[in-house]
Amino acid sequence: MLVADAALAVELSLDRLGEQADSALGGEELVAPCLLWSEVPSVLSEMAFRGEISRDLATQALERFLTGEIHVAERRHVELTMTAWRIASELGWAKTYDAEYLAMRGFSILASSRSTCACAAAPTGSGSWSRHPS
Amino acid sequence: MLRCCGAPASITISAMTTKERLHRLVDELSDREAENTLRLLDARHQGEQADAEAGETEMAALPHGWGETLTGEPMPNVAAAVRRSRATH
Repeated sequence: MLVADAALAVELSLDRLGEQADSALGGEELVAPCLLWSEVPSVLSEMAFRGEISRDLATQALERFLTGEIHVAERRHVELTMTAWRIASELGWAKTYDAEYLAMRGFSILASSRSTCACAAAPTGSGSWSRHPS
Repeated sequence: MLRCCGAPASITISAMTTKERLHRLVDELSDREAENTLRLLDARHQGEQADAEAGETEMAALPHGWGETLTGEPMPNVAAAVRRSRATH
């Protein structure tokens, strides 16, 4: 499981080979916090506004992202926000955006170790992963 | 004063300097237009400052075949765009 940040998601959405991301990354599942679904449209819109890409390309990339063609799955964790808050505080960051991705990476490592440990129970209930209801 | 092309001190297009034209334009704006324009300029200025502070964002090399957009152009600097976007909201 790999955590995709906004830079990766925007680049995959724009790249003509973006749909092959999962195979290019060795079959790893790409996950992201719900923040990604706000950041990607905003970045694409600003790039088009500034003339760095055409409005048509920005729209195509956004549609690709929203329809799941680049294979990034949304994940939520009940402790994500507070963990990101603490990380930002400890690292002296004013904002928590980067910290959310770091926190999610920490949770994904924890989830992977639990799923590969025969004696550990599957993570359920409070503190477990959940897919965003679509 | 009219200046010919290449005059270094200031850009003069007609009888007014660029700053004089800008002052005149600002005076003609309504309060709402002035507020919208100020917001736009402020956001752009903050973005440019963030660009300058971040410097050139280092990009890892992409595998062969990657780095071309859906419409065939080279991939723009997406990491810098994300950094700029976060700096201005």
